[in-house]
Amino acid sequence: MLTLLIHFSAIMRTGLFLSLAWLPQQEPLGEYWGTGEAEAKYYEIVDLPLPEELAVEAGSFEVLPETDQLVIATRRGDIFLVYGAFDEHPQPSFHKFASGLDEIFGIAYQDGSFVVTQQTEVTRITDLDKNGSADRFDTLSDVWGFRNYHEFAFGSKPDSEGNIWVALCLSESYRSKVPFRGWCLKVTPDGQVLPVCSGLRSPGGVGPNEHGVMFYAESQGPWNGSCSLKVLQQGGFMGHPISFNWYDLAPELGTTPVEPNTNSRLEIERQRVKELVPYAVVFPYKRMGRSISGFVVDNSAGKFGPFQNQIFIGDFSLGVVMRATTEKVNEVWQGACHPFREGFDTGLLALQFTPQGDLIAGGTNRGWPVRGPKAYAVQRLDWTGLTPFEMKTVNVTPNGFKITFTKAVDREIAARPATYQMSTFTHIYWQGYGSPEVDQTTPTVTQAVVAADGMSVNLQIEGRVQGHVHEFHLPEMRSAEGEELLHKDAFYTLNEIPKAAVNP
Amino acid sequence: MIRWILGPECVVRSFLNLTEKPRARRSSLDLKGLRHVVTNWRAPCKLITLDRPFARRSTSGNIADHSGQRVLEFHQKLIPIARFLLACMLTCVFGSHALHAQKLTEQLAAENSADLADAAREKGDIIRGAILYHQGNVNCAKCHRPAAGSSLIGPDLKKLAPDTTDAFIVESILLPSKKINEGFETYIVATTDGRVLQGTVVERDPTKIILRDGENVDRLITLKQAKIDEIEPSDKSIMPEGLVDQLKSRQQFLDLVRYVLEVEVRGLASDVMAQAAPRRQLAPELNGLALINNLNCVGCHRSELPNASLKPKMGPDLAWSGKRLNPHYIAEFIADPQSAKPGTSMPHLLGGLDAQERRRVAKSITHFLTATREGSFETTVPDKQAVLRGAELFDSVGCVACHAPRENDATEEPLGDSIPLGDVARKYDRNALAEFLEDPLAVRPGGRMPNMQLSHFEAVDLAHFLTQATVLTQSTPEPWDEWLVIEDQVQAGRELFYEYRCIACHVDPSGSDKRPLPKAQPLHELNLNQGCLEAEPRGNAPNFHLNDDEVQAIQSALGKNPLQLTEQQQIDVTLKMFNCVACHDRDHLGGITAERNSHFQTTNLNLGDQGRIPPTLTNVGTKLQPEWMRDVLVNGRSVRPYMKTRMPQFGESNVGHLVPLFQEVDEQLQIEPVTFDDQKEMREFGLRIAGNKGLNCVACHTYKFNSSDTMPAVDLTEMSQRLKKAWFHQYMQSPGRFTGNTVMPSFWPGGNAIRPDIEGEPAYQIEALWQYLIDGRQARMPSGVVRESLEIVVGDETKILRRTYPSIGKRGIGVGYPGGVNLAFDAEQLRLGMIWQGKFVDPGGVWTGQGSGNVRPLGKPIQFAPGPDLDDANDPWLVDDGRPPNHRFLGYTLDEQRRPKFRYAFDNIDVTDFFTPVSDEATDKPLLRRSVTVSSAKERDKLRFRVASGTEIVQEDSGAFAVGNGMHVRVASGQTCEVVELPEGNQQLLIMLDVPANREVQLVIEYFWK
Repeated sequence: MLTLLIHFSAIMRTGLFLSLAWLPQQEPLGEYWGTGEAEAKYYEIVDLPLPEELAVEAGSFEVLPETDQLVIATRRGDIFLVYGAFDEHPQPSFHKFASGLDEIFGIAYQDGSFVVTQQTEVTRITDLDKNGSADRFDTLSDVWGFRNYHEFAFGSKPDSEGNIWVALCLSESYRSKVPFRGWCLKVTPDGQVLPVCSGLRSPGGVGPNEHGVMFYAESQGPWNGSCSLKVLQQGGFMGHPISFNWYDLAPELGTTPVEPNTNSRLEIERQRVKELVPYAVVFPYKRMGRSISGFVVDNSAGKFGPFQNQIFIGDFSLGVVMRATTEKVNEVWQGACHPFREGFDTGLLALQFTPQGDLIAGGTNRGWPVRGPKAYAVQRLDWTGLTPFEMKTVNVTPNGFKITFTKAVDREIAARPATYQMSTFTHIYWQGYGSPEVDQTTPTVTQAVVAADGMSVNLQIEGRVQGHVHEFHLPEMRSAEGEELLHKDAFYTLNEIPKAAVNP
Repeated sequence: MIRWILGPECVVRSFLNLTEKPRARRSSLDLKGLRHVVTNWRAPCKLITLDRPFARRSTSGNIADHSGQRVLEFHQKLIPIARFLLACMLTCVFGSHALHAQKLTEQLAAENSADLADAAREKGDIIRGAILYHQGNVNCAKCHRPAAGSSLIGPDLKKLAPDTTDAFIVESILLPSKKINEGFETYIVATTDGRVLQGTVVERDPTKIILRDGENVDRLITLKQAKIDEIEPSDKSIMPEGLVDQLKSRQQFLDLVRYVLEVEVRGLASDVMAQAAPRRQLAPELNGLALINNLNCVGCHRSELPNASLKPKMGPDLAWSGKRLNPHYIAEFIADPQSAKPGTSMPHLLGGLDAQERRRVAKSITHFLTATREGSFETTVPDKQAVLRGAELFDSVGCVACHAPRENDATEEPLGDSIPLGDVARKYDRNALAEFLEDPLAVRPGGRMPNMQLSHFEAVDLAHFLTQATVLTQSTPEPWDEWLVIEDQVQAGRELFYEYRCIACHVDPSGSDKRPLPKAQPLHELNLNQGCLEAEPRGNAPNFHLNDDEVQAIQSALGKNPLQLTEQQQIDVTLKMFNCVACHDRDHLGGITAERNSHFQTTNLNLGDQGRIPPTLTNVGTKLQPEWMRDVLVNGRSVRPYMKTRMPQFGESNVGHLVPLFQEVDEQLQIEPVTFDDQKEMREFGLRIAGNKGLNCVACHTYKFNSSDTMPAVDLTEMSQRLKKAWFHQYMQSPGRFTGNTVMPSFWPGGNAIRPDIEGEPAYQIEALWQYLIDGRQARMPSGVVRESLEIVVGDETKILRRTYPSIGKRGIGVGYPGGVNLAFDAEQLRLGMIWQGKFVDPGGVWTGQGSGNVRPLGKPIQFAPGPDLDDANDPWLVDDGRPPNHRFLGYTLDEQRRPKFRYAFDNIDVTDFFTPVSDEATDKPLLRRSVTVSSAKERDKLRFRVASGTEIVQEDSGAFAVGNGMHVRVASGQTCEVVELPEGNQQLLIMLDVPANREVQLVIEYFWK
């Protein structure tokens, strides 16, 4: 699930694989963005006090809008119904709805029951006698193998057909020893199981993107130079070939794909391995998290500020929340990620919007290195009503990129090509753990055309590189009122260059 | 003590009652008169009596339970009262011998001293002894420390007379007054003015005597010979009696003695102590510069400050003030700031007007400011509990570092150098004050009033406390609502706002007005004896009511134009501007004052002063990683949970520049690199040293949120994130040199290892520790960590935990039933996996770290063989590592007692499996009754159900079967069982079944112990 923050590449190459109990020396966790205090003006972190006697290690959230309750499902296997979590100054009370489950990383309320993804299975949990405590636990599916504690399972909220998408972590996070480790499976409401795709490594969250297409968060590691959001494409291959041994169990997916070559580039191997799905949004390591985790789309229609319909994603190691947007170009998904808010008290595992349009974020710092000081925490991010000056979206165009801002820009500065410092890089696609950033290039912004309303700028660019992450660094940019950008960086993963207009 | 009559709870209760209004009592009790009685009674037993009933272990094994903490907290406040009460009890009722808690001294004194010394040398743990020697409540190090001449309080344990025997040392610790070392005799002095003092004589000449106060050994009292009525030797040592009663056990005494006995050879673990030095004063021009900043002189004067990072203090955000503050107060304040709020830094700007005109201008400006006023005065009576909580917060979180302390009714106890608050209750309504306190920087971005990291509800409590006077002193609150904003005054007020230069320090609350502010002369061109710096500024020149020192400081700063600041000076001025020096010292600049000392509190007295006094900033840039320092200054990070005073947040733009300055100014240490071969081995070695078999860091330091059994010293797993390696090396060699008040012993005093049996030079051992610590939160748990013991306790309700159980795969489901019978079901192989009696489980293996372990049954489980219980009789699944292919787990339901009924399928056969613990009527021992139903829509024969398995299953006369390990089984539903041999010499007990179509077959099986 979570990036094991270890440099295994050398070990893997020499075939010398030691037990997991051996934990190599840590690298530093990564610098702060240094924007926390400024961010606080726009988005305020509010603590949700947790009862001292309960260890609320949140792994997944749900909201019951009718009763205005927050539901917290935990790594310790409890489901809490929380009253008062949405109050301005919350002093919530907790009611234990169910307990004894196993590492819950997915909970949804569906037709009067909770559908829960725990490590062993997808379970429908019901309170038949309506006394406030669960009394019926129906196993919807447990077809996948489960032999190692690291074989985490992350479940989505139900899709439009009521299916739960389950992303299954590899065995020990490096192998695939029992069925479907490294696969995504779809579990239907009546317990049928439909394999979706292979090649997952260590998922950290599953859910729809802003267009309703199911994505998952992948962690840095073998075959993954950095963390990324990927689309769970039916019949696709998500990049890590160790899980190829289960195609026999999924005849509907056809034959086993061609093995990718190690020490290559994703852009090259996707030509060879037709099932290989390019990673849609790459999060540059450390600068944009180290173990991206649960994500949600802001459907609050503006209650959370100017970023409606964007993806908000947490990070376990650094305790930050980032933004992402995706778009489909030449039938391939790709998009941008942006820094958003740092300074959470613990490692984030899950996010959830409240009916009021605030963002609940929580998790633990158990087991892996985490920057936040608390063993576990649940916090809420409230929009203060002030709009920060930010790059709202970055979209690709046939000739360059279009950057949309949250406020009108200073036209003079925005029209200067030099305002946009650009660079690109990609990762090595290999079986080693993670990857340095390689093949750096510097594209040239030849023209910056500011829209009439000043809210966006069309960049004409020479030297874009397909398959590379494109970095935008805008330290000089100012709003019409002279404000600096709250975050000066954005990162766009350019898998495809549109021939004509971009289809959303 | 008094428990013989009342029981200890009564004593405790009487203390608890006292705490409800400790302050009220304090003022109503004439302690001065009683003090005399109390001072003759020595301190030690106070702690024991208080500690005893409270320091019980909580169920989790942590000593820091709530009651314990509370007692320590209020204990500090209650010392005078507690002393008095205890002294009375002791003297009046029983005398000291009845003290329950003195039993350790008594018990040890009854033993032979030489034997105790031998036992200490043999069984004492020297490291633990070193810790006890320094620990706050024992604190031998306070007096027995290397010092020369008059600063020596107790004998230097390294230089004891050659004929000093071990037995003598033991005796001296137990009974200090039995024999007093030469030079440390005490005297009782009666003075002509009626005082009676006791102490050791530090210096004596014909004119005076300098006495070390027996009550406070840090205090030296100079008495003129003429003032001495009588002086006579005392038979009491200056060393307190009953110190040993601070220890928890005989073992701790042996630990301490072992350490003391070896001090002579190994040296004191605190061989070098930071030396106290006189306080450093800032040069007048630097003080002046701080003032120029804090008074925002450049708001009017056309000048640049010498350093851009030193930000002048802007005035509060009046848009907020106008909305939220009492308009009457604002008007009075503007008309005459010093009368409304004595000591304010807001200058009087209307000095050139007569009283009536002044009021008119002030009112007009107030109309302008309050044009957008919101809300009305909060008239509800403050909540009593909130007031008490607020009083406690005010006293402890750090308010008193800058402001004057307050009684419980919020009246000020005047204290010099305090930043005035004025009539808070008149100025703010409660809700406005709470809003301000929760985020002061939003209203006052200058950061001089920092954010104290109060939660919303803490801010509310503080507001209740500070504004209570409104209701207490006035029958009806001031009629805020009667302040009617007069529209045509608003625009006039705005004009006056500019005319009287309010705009120099405040932003125009009605929005930006680009009209330029005519600036006054540059500062360096001023006549330094005129204008604002005159004793009585004339006309409408701002009157800051500066005192002579302040005027001179400003003159001195302006006289040195251009004033160039070194980086060190920039730090000093910043520390002064933000009053960091109220809590911290840096190179002897600042530090807490004696008057405010008692307001710095701790939750754990064992840490001594280090547990309550904010750390020194001397060499802080040498010590801390810049990232960490930033985290503390800007992000509110803190590692000292025991310190009640909070590190405030001043705002990044105000103090962010300190991070690079500290790094720049403070020395960056270079150390000899320590070479080693194998990093992994080195880390293992460090892990051993950190544990209780080594230097026992975990005896005091927290490991990953697990507090040690003595004190919650800084978490080991955060060390490498905070500290620089070179500093760590130097600090470890001699902690006392860096922190004078540290409890931390040196493990290699003077280069001699306290534990010579551990391999390697000091630097090598320290490097090993560093290599271990560098893993941060992932650093493995050293031996000796008091780990939060986890147990799922089964009360009246059945408990379930799904997870890995020994001999069961990952899909185990443990069930703990009330009454002490437990089982684990295997939801992958669909079988009863194990049964045990007693407590349920310890989930530590799966609820800590990454969760790689097992759930541990807290009893001796009887385990059954793998493979499904229900299977085809002729063609059962051959057990291997996989899953039985035709079995499916379907879930479970809970009955009203939350007992699970498991459901699963084998082919098309549905099975339910339900366990109920009952008491065996015959033996009164626990019995587990298992009810199994098997049903199918289609007839199915030749099934078998496995009841049990074991190495040898024997049928008994009763018809039951003994299956080994004391477990017996019978089939109550009447089916016959057969014992079947398995290939590996195991046996299983099977029921053969044929299942008719649509007719449920029931099995009832009973598992019991005899």
